[in-house]
Amino acid sequence: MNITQKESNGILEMGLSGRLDAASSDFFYNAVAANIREGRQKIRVDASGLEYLSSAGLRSLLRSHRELSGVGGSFAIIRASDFVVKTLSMSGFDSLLALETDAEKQAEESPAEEGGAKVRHEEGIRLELYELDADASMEAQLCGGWKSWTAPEEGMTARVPLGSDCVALGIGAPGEDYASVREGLGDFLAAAGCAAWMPPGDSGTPDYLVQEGRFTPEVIALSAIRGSGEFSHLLRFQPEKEGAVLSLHALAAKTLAATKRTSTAFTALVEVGGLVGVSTIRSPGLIADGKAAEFPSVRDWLSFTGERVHEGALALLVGFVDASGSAANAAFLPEPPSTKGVRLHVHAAVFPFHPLANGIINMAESVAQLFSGAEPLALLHLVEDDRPTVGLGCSTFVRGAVWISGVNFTKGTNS
Amino acid sequence: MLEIRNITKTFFPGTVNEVRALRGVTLTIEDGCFAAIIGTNGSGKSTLLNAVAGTFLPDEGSVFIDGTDITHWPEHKRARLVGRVFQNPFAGTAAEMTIAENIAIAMKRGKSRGVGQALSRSVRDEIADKVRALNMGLENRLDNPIGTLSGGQRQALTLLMATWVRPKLLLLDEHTAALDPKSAAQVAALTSEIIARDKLTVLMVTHSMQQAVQMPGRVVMMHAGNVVEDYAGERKKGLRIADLMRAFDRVRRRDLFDAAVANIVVPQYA
Amino acid sequence: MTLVVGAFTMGLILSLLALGMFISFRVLRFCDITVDGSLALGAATTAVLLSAGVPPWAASLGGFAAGFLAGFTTGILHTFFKVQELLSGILVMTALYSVNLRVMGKSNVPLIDTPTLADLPEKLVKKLAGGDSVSIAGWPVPARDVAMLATVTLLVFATALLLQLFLKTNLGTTMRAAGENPQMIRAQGVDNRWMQVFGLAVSNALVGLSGAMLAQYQGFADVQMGIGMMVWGLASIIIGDALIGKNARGTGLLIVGAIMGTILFRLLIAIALRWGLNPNDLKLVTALFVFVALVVPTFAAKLGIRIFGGRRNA
Ligand SMILES: Nc1ncnc2c1ncn2[C@@H]1O[C@H](COP(=O)(O)OP(=O)(O)OP(=O)(O)O)[C@@H](O)[C@H]1O
Ligand SMILES: [Mg+2]
Repeated sequence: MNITQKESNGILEMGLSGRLDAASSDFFYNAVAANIREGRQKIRVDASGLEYLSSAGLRSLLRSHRELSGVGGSFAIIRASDFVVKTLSMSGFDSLLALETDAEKQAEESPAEEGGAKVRHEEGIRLELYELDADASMEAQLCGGWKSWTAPEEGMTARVPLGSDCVALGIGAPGEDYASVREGLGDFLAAAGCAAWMPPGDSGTPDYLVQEGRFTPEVIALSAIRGSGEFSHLLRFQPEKEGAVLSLHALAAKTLAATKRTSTAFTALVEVGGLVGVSTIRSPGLIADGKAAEFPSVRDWLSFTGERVHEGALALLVGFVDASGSAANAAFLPEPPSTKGVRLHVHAAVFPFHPLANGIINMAESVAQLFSGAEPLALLHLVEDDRPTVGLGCSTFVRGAVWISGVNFTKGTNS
Repeated sequence: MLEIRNITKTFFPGTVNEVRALRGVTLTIEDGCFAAIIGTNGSGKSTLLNAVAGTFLPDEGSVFIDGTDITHWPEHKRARLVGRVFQNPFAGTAAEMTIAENIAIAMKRGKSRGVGQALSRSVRDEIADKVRALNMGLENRLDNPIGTLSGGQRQALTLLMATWVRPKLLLLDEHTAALDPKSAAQVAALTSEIIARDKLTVLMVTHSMQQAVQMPGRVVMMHAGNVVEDYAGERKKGLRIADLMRAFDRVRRRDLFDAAVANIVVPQYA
Repeated sequence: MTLVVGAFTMGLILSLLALGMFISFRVLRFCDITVDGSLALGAATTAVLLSAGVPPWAASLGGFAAGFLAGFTTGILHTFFKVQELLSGILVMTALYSVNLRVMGKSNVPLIDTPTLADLPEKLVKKLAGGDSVSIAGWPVPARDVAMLATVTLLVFATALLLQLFLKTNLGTTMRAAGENPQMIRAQGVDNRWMQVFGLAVSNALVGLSGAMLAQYQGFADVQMGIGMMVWGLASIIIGDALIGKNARGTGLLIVGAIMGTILFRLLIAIALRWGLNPNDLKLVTALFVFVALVVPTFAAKLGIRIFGGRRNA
């Protein structure tokens, strides 16, 4: 089995030669999957060189088709020889066969999809910025009165509903009242009615809740930022050069640039280059004195990734960026060591990778699809590690979609 | 019952090679409890077992068996209470002596040894019976030097020897680690069988997560000379390999989280 | 013929030495140099006791006991004072030189007209032969020599048997295991140090007994008589191994091998001397032989020779 590839007009043609059978079907499918991941989502398989097609081979063709349909791409077999046509139609899969003219027609249509995007090329990355709704903006409430690393008190908490109308992040847990969550508080994020949070303790895996019918997830939070409103822009990015990645700080800067605002909110679905972050391993509700933030006792409360983790996974990011210099926001938006006046608070929920469709995609649908397809593997509060020489820097991303909006921060009410 | 109280052991103290192998380990193993110790390389597992067996005296702390303070007992005296199987199949037997002779020596563990014949008829019969029960065909080779056996066969015999006279405590230090997978599984099965049959109190060091999850009733994780996890009771019942992997990951991360990291990270956590 | 009988007698006497060294070198795997001193000590003690009119059996036992003490001391030095193996032997051996001089009061004690263990057998032989000499294969041999030969044969036979039986007892098996794998034996509840001390004591007791017989056979005890004995014993054991083959297992065969080796070695020496080897060169030649066996491991392997009974586990 041999595969040759050529791309023209946004359509990738994969030329197969030899046998597509049990021995080579995985090889073929992996090649397709890699193309999908890299954003080549209109695939034609040139079957003229195919000598043999077994059931396993047939299955891999079908899987490719399903995967591409899932991300709004297309998959078809062209230049099929007689026996391939026969095999496909006998097994009822002749829908996979495309007439050459079809393919050409689609090829002509394809450039239209870039319509409305401002395309830029920066340091090996192709960036497409789509304007969704120029007037859209968000209101963000800063909830909870807790000062980090101090012993919390009852009155500091806030009840934060996490319905589909908002994006949010913070430290909290679902529960009736503060007493019931005091020992289980952890980092959380929410978008489109899907909430994930990291219960402290042994399990090491996040838990999650999804809005369904009349049930709306809700957390009792020590501190949280909850943004509601619409997104104004969508940023798509993907590498053009091998190894090019977008850093979290560059991403934050792009949200400010896209909206021309000093404060932004964003939600993103991104393939991870490497995450650097921390997560709570002991509920901050249990902090009793001022020692929690001191080394080494801080290690009992907080776990640091220690290396760049989750490469290749898909992450859901919820973040808020503030370059306004407002002192009121400072308690909710920490300043990374190297961003010069840009404060940001970003949480990431990590999922197994699955490809996204190209172009404009809907945030709520994409997030819902994510939560229905797999469970979160990890949840992190992203940080920058700027230690000299050994520092890990900040998190990086390979490709993805970022929904962006300007934001006004207001002080929320405590429960 | 084994009680280890705040044991510390430092090798080469005060030199550049100083190794703080045990940093205040406290551990109580109840009667009839089968506990496994897992941990990263050099975390002090073997050192802890050695401290219990009396290979050396700890710098601080004490060891009790059934309420008796044995901290200052020499190794051979502790052997009255403690049976041992080592990682190296060569360590527990005298290679040039016969299977029967080796076992005869073990039959007298902790007892006085006179000038009576070591391998009398009755002793031979007893040995043959128990060796036959191993189902390894070794009963026909009792007069062969034990060094001619495979590692797995030797470890099985060493296990038999260590438990022939019922020990108050059985120490197993990675006793299947030097064996091929099949023999390892065989010896592990034999271990479980003997321990269950004799209701032994056991401390077993293992690198096999599989063994740690399946065999014992309790799993203790060590790291850098400390006990960092202790899965007992209900917590042990639900224990899976993934949990152990995560725990390992946690302790490794904890190591990477140094003071410099804390300085940078803590202000960014709001 | 006298020569042959002499070689046999000497060989048998020295095989007591070889048996002693078998315990230290083979069973305990301990390179014990005390031997040179304890042989002379055994001889000196016995000679002095005989001169003082003590009956021969008691005097010989005295030599045995003196050797026991010497080995005991070496053992204690090594195990409890942590003196290195070789060094503890050297210390005791050196000290024994002075001790032997003290025991004897001078450097040489001649035994003229004192009774020996061979007296009773001698009478018996004379009665049986009806004269002062016995004819063996047509050659006349003095009855005294025959008697001595018979005595040491009996003694060696008895010792070898006892040793073999001992090594099969609970204590004996434990001692063997202690030599091979002290770690194991500690794990079995035995203080391997005492095993070592006891083994060395018995080993040197046999060496002392060998000295006692040597003094009675040669008719004197000399402070120098132990020099080089360890190497001779070693040579005997090496030859014995070559005789029984390297795959020999079981203590019985090894014991027989040690005895046969010693006798053969004496015969070889007797022949060499007869051929005109300068007696002064004897120790040099022996040392060379052992050296070659020790230093050229491939050579040793080819001959199937082992100096120690295999590896000792830590
Ligand atoms: N006898 C000794 N002398 C000097 N250092 C020692 C000694 N025994 C152990 N150590 C050191 O103490 C530390 C702990 O060793 P130990 O053998 O107990 O680890 P372990 O947990 O059993 O590791 P492994 O899984 O590799 O067996 C190591 O750094 C080791 O080098
Ligand atoms: Mg170890």
